[in-house]
This record gives sequence, C-alpha cells and structure tokens, in this order.
Amino acid sequence: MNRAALAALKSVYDPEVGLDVVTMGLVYGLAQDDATLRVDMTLTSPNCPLGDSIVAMAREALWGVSGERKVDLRLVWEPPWSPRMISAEGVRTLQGGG
Amino acid sequence: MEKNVETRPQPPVGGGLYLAKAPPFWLPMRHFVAAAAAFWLFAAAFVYGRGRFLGFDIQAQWILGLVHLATLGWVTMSMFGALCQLAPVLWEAPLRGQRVAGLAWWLFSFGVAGFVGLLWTGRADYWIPASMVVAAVLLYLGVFVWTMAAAPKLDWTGKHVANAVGYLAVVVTLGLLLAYDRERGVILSHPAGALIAHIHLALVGWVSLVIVGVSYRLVSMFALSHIESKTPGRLTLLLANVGLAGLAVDAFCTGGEHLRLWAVLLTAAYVSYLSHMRNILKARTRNVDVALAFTLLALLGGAVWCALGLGLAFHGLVDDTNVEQAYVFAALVGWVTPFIVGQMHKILPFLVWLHVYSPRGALPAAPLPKMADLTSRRVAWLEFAALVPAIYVTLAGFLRQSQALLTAGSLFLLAAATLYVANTAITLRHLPRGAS
Repeated sequence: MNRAALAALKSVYDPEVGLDVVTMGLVYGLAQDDATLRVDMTLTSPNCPLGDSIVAMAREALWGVSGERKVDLRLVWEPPWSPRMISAEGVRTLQGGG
Repeated sequence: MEKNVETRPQPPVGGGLYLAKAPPFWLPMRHFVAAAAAFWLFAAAFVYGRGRFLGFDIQAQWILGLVHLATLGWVTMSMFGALCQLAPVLWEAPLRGQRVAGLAWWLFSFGVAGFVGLLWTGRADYWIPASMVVAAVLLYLGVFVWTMAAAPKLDWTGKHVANAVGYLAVVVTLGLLLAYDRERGVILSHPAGALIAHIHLALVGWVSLVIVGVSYRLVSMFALSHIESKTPGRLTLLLANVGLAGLAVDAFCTGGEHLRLWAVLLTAAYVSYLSHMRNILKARTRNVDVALAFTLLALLGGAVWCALGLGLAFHGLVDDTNVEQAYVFAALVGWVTPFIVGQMHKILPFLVWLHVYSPRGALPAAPLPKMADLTSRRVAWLEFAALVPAIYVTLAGFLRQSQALLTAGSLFLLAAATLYVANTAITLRHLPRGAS
C-alpha cells in the first residue's frame, strides 16, 4: 500500500517547478492502518500560492489507491521545507542533466 | 470494488491556503494587460521620437510625456498589479479594499492616458488627468496600507514595500508641485533640484525599493535558492533610505550641493543588494531559465545606472542633456524593464494556470499542463535577445550622440516590446472565452 501511495504521489507535480512532490521532498511521512491512509506533507512555504492545487491533487491521487481507507492528508510545517530536500535526481533534472 | 463516492476527498475549495486570500483574477490581470499595452506604446513612441532626442531638454513636454508613459503606464501599472496579486504571499493577508483597487485601476488608466497624451501634444491642461492619476494613487496607497496594517508581521520584503509606498506619496505630491510651478513659476526656489528629487524618489524610492524587496522573495522562490538569511536587505534599506532622503532634501532645498555624497551612499546600497543577490543566485538549485536571465540583465542595468549616476555626480561625465537622458533610460529600460519582464514570465502563466487549470473538483482526465507550457520560451528568449541591444545600443547612442545608434536601439526596443505583447497574448489564449 505504501508503495502504491508513493507512486500515486509521484504523479502529483508542482506545476511551476515541474517536479513531483516526492522528488521535491514535500512528503514527510506515510502510514496506514485498516481504516486510514495517513500522509504528512508540506509545501515550499506556508504561503505557497499553489498550495491549494497541490493539496487537492495529492488528495485526489491518494483517494485512487486508498481502497476503503479514509485519506488523512495533513499539512505540517516542521521542519520547514528547503530546496536542500529535493532529491539528487530532482536536482539533476532542474539543472538540465535529468 | 466500487468506492463509496461520499468518501471522495474534497479539495479545499474557497477555504484553502492561498485561494481564499487571493484577489480575483481580473484585478491583477487588468493591470498586466494595460501595462503591456503601455510598454508597446512607449517603445513605439520612442521609435517615433528618436530623431528628436539629441540636444532636447529632458524637461521638454513631449519627453516628459514619454517618460511618464514608461514610469506610470508600464512600470507603476505592473507594480500595482503585482502588489495586488502578491499581497497574500508578501503580507500573509488578503488584499483589503479590492473594489477600491478596481476603481483605482479605471481612474489610473484613464488618468495616465490623458496625462501622457496631453503632455505629448504640448497641452497645458494636463493637470486635469494628472489629478485623476493622483486620486488613483491615493486609492492604491490606501489599499496597500490597509492591507499591510492587517499583516501579522512585515518581513524585510514587506518593509521595503512599506517604505516604497511612503515614497510614492511624496513622489506624487512633488509631481503636483512641479506641475504647478511649471505653469506659474512661483513656488519652488530650486525647480531643477525639485525635479532631481522627484526623479530619484520615484525611481529609487518607489520603483527600486519594491523591486529590491520583492526580488528577495521571488528570485529565491523561482531559483529554488536555499539562502538562510533572515534579514535580507537590512543594510541595503538603511543605505538607500539615508542616501535618498539626503538627496531629496538637499536637491529640493539647495538644488543639490552634496550630490556626490548621496550618489556614493545610493551606490553602496546597490552594491549591498548585489551582494545579497549573488548569495541567492549562488545557492540556487535551478539552471538559469529565461526569467532568471532577465533578472541578471536587470542587475547589470542597475550597475550601469549607478555608474552613470556617479559619473554625473563627480563630473566624470559631461553634465549635458544627452547624459541625463542616458541616465534615466538606464534606470527605466536597463534596470526596471528587464526585472519586470522576467517576473512577468512567471507571474502571468501562474495567474492563468491558477484560473484555468487549478483543480477545483475531481482531477481532469488529461494531465495538467505545467506553467512553462503556457508561455513560449522561444519567444521569451527572442525578447531577451532584442532587449539587450535595445538597452546598450540606445545608451551608446545617447552617450556618443549618435542618431544611427539611437535609431537602431529604438527599433530593438520596439521589437522587444512587440515580442513581449505577443507572448502575453500566447499566455492569455489559454483563458476560456468570456473570462473577465
């Protein structure tokens, strides 16, 4: 399930940066039990102008793989996101090598 | 197995993070469309007037019309639109008085059109549309001050903008005094000094402080820079305020007896800003895209503007009207214009994407476009390629008093403006018919 949820989140792109939210390092945690699929994620900043859209897309993507479980997507702000959290593969893509 | 539709997650329509605070789409977009039109008109008028620049006094009425088409129609219109759009990002508060801002746009648009038109044609009754411009600016100032008053905190970007808004109030007041004095000639003891104060309060106090403050946020954001400083621009703001206030008071009261001191302080402010921008750009995660290339061009233009200012203050350059025109051109087209164009290549696609493609219900079946797909990168690079010679060939034309260079530079400027308008149209083509 975690693998499916992670794959679903990898289909959610930041439309400005062009990277998916997992590669961007925006997903902080992923857990599940019988009733709930819980995801902790953040945004590039609390005032990210694309926040609503990214959250909506992530919820929608998770809903597609959650089965009968409820999707509990929480926005967290600690630790604050920094571009250092972008994966090495993502950095290569941004710098034109990927 | 069919999923229970009622368990489908609901996106945060209207109650989300940014959308609930964002101004309506039409408010910033009207500003940006009007500004693009003014940019093109400015470039066209520049081509038309190119044969008359050399030897003309910078206070010639048609030149004042041309300058105000750029400063008010292009630059200030863009900045008002951007501040409306960025209020939730910059001040973490929704824009207050959105209807007032909408009314201000109408007043400002018609006021600028009339003011510039009457100046260009040499009419004396330009005070009528000028008073509309002043009324509009006061409305905008009210909106921004009201919004900032509701902000939970003002960071250094917000502080720069707050200072700039204060300077704008002084700029329009001094502009009114200058206009009255021009017709009656009885108020100002040093009209030339008052003009120097007006120009610098506008270009440094209003325009540049907004650019500097906003660039700490936007350039970091778009370059994905992991700069850690919590106090960007503290020294820049201090030096700029001291240098500008000193220059304005000195020029207004004495005609400018200590211009060298103020020129050094303002240049030091710019060097401090450059140093911070260098740190931001060094820590960037992204390659240089076209928006960042325009920003780099703007930084170079700002340095040239400072160099010309020092040259004029220390008399290294002959203080004649062509050098003064080069100085103002370096500020408006060398420094301010590339910065605005570069940021617009990010802001316009963002606005259209948010309005047209941002998911508000279930995700559409087709993949959503990226923002970069809403604009033409090729046209944007062509804009860049045209703007570089537009700046530096024209500057050379002023400094070498060459009509041929001025003609070539003005044609490059018109090409850059035409391409900018074309790219704006490419982005707006994504809007559904009937979108306001």
